[in-house]
Amino acid sequence: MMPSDEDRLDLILRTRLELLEQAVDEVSEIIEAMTDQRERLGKVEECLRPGGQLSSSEKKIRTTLGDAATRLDTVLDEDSAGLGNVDRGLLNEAQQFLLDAKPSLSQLSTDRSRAYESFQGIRRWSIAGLPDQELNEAAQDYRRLLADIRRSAEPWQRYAAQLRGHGQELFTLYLELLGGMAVRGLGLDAAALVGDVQMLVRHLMQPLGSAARKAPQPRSPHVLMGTRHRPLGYPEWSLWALPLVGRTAGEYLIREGTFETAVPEQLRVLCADLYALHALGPSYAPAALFLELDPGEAPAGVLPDSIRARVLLKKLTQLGDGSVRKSLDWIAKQLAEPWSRARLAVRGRNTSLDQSEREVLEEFFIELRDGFKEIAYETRWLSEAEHLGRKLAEGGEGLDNLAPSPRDLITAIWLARLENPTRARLIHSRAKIVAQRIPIGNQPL
Amino acid sequence: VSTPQPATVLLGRIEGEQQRLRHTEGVVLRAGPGAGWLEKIAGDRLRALIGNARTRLETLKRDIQRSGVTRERLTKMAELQQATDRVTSECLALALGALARHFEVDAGACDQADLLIRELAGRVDRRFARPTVPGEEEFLHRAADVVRRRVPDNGLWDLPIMAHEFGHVVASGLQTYDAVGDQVLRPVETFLAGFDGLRRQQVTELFCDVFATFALGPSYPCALVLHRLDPTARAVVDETATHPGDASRVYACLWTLRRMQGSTKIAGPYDRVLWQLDTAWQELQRDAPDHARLNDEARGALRSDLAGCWVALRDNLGTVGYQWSGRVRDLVEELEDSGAAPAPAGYSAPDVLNAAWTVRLDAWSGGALPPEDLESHVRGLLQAALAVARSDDAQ
Repeated sequence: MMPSDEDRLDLILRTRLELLEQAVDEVSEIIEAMTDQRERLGKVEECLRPGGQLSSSEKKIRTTLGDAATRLDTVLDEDSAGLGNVDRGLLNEAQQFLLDAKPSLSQLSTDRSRAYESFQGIRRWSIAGLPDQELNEAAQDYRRLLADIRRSAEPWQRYAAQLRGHGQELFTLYLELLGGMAVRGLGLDAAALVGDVQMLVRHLMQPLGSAARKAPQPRSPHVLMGTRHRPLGYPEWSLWALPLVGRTAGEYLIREGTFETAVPEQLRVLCADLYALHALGPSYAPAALFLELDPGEAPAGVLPDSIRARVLLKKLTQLGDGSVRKSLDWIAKQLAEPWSRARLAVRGRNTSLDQSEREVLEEFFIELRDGFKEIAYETRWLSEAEHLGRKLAEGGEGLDNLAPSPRDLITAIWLARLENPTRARLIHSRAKIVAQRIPIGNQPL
Repeated sequence: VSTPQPATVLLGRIEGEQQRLRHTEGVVLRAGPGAGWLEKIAGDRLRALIGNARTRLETLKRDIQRSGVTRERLTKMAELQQATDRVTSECLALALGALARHFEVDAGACDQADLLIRELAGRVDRRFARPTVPGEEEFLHRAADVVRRRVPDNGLWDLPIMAHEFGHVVASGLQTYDAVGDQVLRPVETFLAGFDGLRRQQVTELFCDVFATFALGPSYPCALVLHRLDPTARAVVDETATHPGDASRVYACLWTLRRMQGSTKIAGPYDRVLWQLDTAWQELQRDAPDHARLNDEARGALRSDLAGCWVALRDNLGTVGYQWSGRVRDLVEELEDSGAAPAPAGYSAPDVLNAAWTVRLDAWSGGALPPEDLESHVRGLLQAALAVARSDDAQ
C-alpha cells in the first residue's frame, strides 16, 4: 500500500504544496468568474457596437422617419386639392415634429458611438479581457505538477528543481490578473490585506520615528516581501506570509543605521530575522521556516538558511519569561521536527556561525530586548492568540465580534495551524473574514 | 448566719442574663444612628437569636423553681451564660459595625464589598446576598449571616477576600432540587458531612478558597497569597486548627486555577499568573522552615479534598464560575497606558480585579512599580462595573 502524504512528506513541504494548491483553486475560481463576466460584457457589446442592436434600431427609426416625411411632402404639395386650412396647419405641424426628431436621433447615434468607445476601454482593462484559455491550461498543468511532486520518490528535490525560484506561467498570469484587479479596486486577498500590512509596517517602522515617512509605503504587500528566493509567488499575498514583512522592515532599519550594534553585511538578514521575531512574535518563525527558508544548500557566499532557521528556533524560546517557556518550547518543537525532516530529505550539511558572529547576534538581540521594549511582541497574551486560533480552527459562528490586531491574527493563525495542520484552509478562510474588518488607518496594533 | 441558697443565686443569675439580653436588644436594634440599617439587614435574625436565648433561660428558671438545683442545671446555667456572651458580643459587634458604616469609618469599603457579594449572589441565588460590616478581620458569623470586612485593609486589592466569606454563605445555604428523586438536596453540606469537628471546619475553609478562586479567577489567589498567607507557617496543621495550613491554601488556589484553565496545548490564560504566584511563593519560602513546605504525601491528601470541593462546585455551582475573556486584556491595556484604549464594553467587577492584579504583578515582575494612578483608575472602573450590578439588581 502506498504510504500517505503525511508519512512521506514533512510538514514544511506539505504546507508549501497545500498553499500552492490553494492558490490554483483560487485562480480557478477567478477564471470561472471571468467567464461569467465575459458573457455579460458580450451582451453589452452586442447592444452598443456599430451594426448592433441599438444601431439597427437607429437605422429603422431613421428610415421610418424619412418615409413619414416623404408622405407628408406629398400630401402637402401645393397642387393637392381638398385640404382645408385647419388640416393643412396640422400636417405642417407634424412635418416640423419630424424635422425636430432628426437632430435628437443623430445625437443618440453619437452618444451610442461614444458609449461603445468607452466600453471598449473598460473591456480592454477588465479581467474578463484576459485569456482564460491559457490560464485554464496553466492551472491544469500546475495541478499535475503538484500531484507529481507529491508522488515523487524525492519530493523535495523535485520541488526545488521545478518550482522553487522558477517563475511559473500560471503565477505570472495570475499576478497580472491580481495587479489588474487591484487597479480597479477589485482585489481579493491583496486588497484585503492592505490594512493589515499598513498597520504592521507602522509598528515595525516605529524605531525610525518621524523618518518612518520615508520608508517604503505598502501599496502592495509584494513590495515589502522581497526575498532572494521568491519561492512561491502566491503566498506572498496571503495571511500566512504576512509575518515576512517583518524581516524586510528589519533589513531597512538596519540599513538606515537604527541600531547601535554594528551589524556586518553578512549578518544583516539574520539580524533582520531577529527584529521580525522580536516585533511580531512567534508567527515569524513558522512563516519563515514553512514558507521561505531553503532547507538545502545556499549558493556560495550567501548565509545558509539552515543557520537562519537554527537561530530563529533558539531565539524563539527566549522571547518571553518563564511563564511562557513551555509554550515557546512547544512551538519551537513543532517547527524543528519538520525542518529536520526537510533537511534530511535534501541532505543539507550543517554549518555554523563563528564566535564573533554569535556575539554580534547576541548583542543585537539584547539591544532589541532592552532598547526596543515598546515594539516587542507581548508573550503574556499568547493564550489570547491561541484562543483566537481555536475559534478560527473550530469553524461555526462566533467571528462577529472579533477584530484583533494584525499581529494577533497572524500569531493566531500560525498557532492554530501548528495545532491543526489539516484545518489550514478553514483557518485561512475564516481569518480572511476577520482580516477584512481591519480598517486602513491609524488603529493601535 | 443565713447564706444565699444555690437556687436563689441561679435565679439571680438568670435574671441578670435576661436583663443583658433585653438591654442588648434595646440598644442594638432601637437606639443609635445605625439601628435602622441593622434592623433592616438582620433585625429578624437578631430578635430570634435573643428570643431563643431568653426562652432557654426561662425554661431553666422554671425547672429550678419547680425542683431546685441539680448538677446538670448548674452546667446548663454555665452554658447559657456563655451563649448570652456570644449573642451579646455578636449583636454589639454588628451594632458597632453599623455605626462605623453610618459614620463612613470604612470609607466605602463595605459598600464595595456588598456590591461584589451581590454580584456573586446573582450568579447563584440572590437571597444569598448578605451585607457586610467593618470588623477586625474577615469572617462570617453564623448567627446573623453578616460578613465582616477587615477595616482598614488593602482596599480594592483585598476585595477578593470577600468571595471567600461569601463561600461560607453558599456552603451552608445551598439547596438544589433533584427532580428525579423529587427531593431537596444540600450538596455542599453533604460533601462536608464526611468530616467531623474542626477537620470539617478546615475542609470548609478549603472549599471557600476553591469557591473564591472559581468565582473570581486569579485575583483571589493573588490577594490571598501575596497579602495574607504566611510563608513560614506550618504547611499542614493538626486537627485543632480552624484553617488549613497556609501552604495548603496556596496549593488549593493554584490547583483550582489550573483546573479552571483545563488542558491547553500551547498557552492557557492563567499560565502566567500561576507561574508568577508559584515562583513568588517559592521565593518567599526560600528561608522558611521545612514544616512550612508541603510534601508529596500532604499534597496527595489535599488533592483528594480538593477534588471533592471541585465536584461539588462543578456539579452544583457551575454558573458561578468565572469566565476569562479578552476584556481583561483590554482593561490591562487601559490601566497600563491610561487613555490609550477605551475600557471595553460589558466588563464585570471580577474582570477589573483580575486586570488590576495583572498590571500590578507584571509591574512587580519587571522590577517596576505599578502606574501611580493605578488604584484610582481601577476604582473608577470597578465602580462602573458594580454600578451595573446595582442597577441590574434594582431592576
